[in-house]
Amino acid sequence: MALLPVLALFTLATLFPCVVLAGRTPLAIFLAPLLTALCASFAAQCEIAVAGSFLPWFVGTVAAANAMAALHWFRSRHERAEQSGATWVTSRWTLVVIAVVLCELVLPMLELRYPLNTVDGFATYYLHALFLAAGHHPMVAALRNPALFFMNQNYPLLDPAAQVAAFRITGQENARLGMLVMGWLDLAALVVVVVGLVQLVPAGFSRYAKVASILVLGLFAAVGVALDASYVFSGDADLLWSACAVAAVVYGTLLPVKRANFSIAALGVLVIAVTKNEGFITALFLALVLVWRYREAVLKCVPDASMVQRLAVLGLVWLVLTAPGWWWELYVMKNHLAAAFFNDLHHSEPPLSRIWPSIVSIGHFLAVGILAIGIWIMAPQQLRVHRKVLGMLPTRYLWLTVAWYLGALMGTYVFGVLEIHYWLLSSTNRTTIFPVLLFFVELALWFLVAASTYAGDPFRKDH
Amino acid sequence: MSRKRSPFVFTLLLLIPAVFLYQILIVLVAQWSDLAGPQVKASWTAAVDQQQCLAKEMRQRVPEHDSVFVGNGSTSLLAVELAIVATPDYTIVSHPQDAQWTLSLAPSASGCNGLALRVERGGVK
Repeated sequence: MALLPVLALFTLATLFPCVVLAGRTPLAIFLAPLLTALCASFAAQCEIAVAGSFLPWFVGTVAAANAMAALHWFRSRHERAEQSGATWVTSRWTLVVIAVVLCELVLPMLELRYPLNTVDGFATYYLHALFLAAGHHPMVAALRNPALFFMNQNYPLLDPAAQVAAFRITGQENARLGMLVMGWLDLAALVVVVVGLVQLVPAGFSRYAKVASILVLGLFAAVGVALDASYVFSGDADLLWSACAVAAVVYGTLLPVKRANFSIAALGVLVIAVTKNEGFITALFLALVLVWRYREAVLKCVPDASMVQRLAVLGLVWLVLTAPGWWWELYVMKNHLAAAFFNDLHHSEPPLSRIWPSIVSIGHFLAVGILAIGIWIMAPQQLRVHRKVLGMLPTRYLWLTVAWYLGALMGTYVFGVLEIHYWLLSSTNRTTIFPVLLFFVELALWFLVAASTYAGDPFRKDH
Repeated sequence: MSRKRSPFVFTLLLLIPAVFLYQILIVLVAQWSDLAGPQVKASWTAAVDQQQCLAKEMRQRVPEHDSVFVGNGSTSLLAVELAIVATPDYTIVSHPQDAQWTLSLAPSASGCNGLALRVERGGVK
């Protein structure tokens, strides 16, 4: 039962900043654990870079997040007064969606609560968490200790940091507790994605079409759990970063330009940049997309600036969104922590011979992509008008993200140095979760468009 | 706006939920017995018990804060187990000659859940 106070504190610690960022919506309850985990990750970086132990840094980071939110809340009081009563999401449907998703996940949550003994869960994340909990010197020594290379010293810190936060709340360094907290973060990220998708359901849908759409979109969370089934409650970070990246795509590129949507997408980018290395690579691209899409809103702050100054401002926003990830990657490079993965002296096979096995292994998990691409190409011929009336944005950024990510993934396998067959066998089931989830997003969107043909009359009240 | 209910639209309405359900069923249902159930709980409990037993034995036989070398090699799962058991009360060193103690795990019927801790003074020469 130690889990309940941990989940409560994970939520309450940053609930206020999340309400300020996303508005008065139940979604804030699911954003808050992600923001708390991000604060834990900052605390871990401070512990490593400066000195001391985790808890003071964690408390300081959470306090700073709340103070910044309070400052912003105070400064925007006039703006709020003008928009009194306005909410950015229909709360009733949000509640329905959250209820649907939580109901469908009750069984996996209850039955999968005993983690499988995965190698990464113990060797990487739990071991990281133990050293992080021990303080600055043990952690720095462990990261540089060649004898501990099996703990994947180059892995970013959000996952172990969140586990240590749970350890500090309960006072016990319990592996299962840390893994259950990671499972909850996975589910919170999936709820955020589903709520974002449901915002694409038009107000003018008939009740039956709306319920059908919500049920189908609600299945998205179960798909996420299914894709990562062995690892959801084993302390691994793959589903967390994948779901947060999908949230960034949904809120940042598929939903309208609004401050709340930008905030949620930015939170997703910040989280993925410090959760996995492939997350950082994806964050570089998604931050670029976000900055590009919100460039007009950003540049309102500097109306009289020259072109160079505007570019500098946009570059600065991009840098802020990716900064925590940059810090960790520079630390990794400086201390050669990734030598086990990339070292020219120890290539087990020439890069050319690694290409085909990589394609086969990655492709094995991307079968649904063939269907998604087929529908993406064929459906517009039949349903272009419906999609236009729905006001649904094109998914070009989604596909560009898929292309960017798969390119980076191929590059990692081809130019990495681990024995390729073992590496593929032990990782592609997890490294492909993100693109597969994006394929399911594409399918879900076309389901909505198809459902719009049964949407009732008048088709859409606000058109 | 005109409504268009072609066979293609009907196919999409059936196919897309089916793909969602297939993805859920093929993994969660097909692998359910491997993912959940009493044997998973038993396996987890046994692993935790084993770690606690080994940690207790290590603290009885090796003074805390001494430097130790993991003698199972750095690629084996036993090395992971030893590192978890030794963290954070011992300093794990990367060269055997720097170690005050060499630790290793070996299968045993009488040890901690099938594993016995071996402790040797000094590093492996």
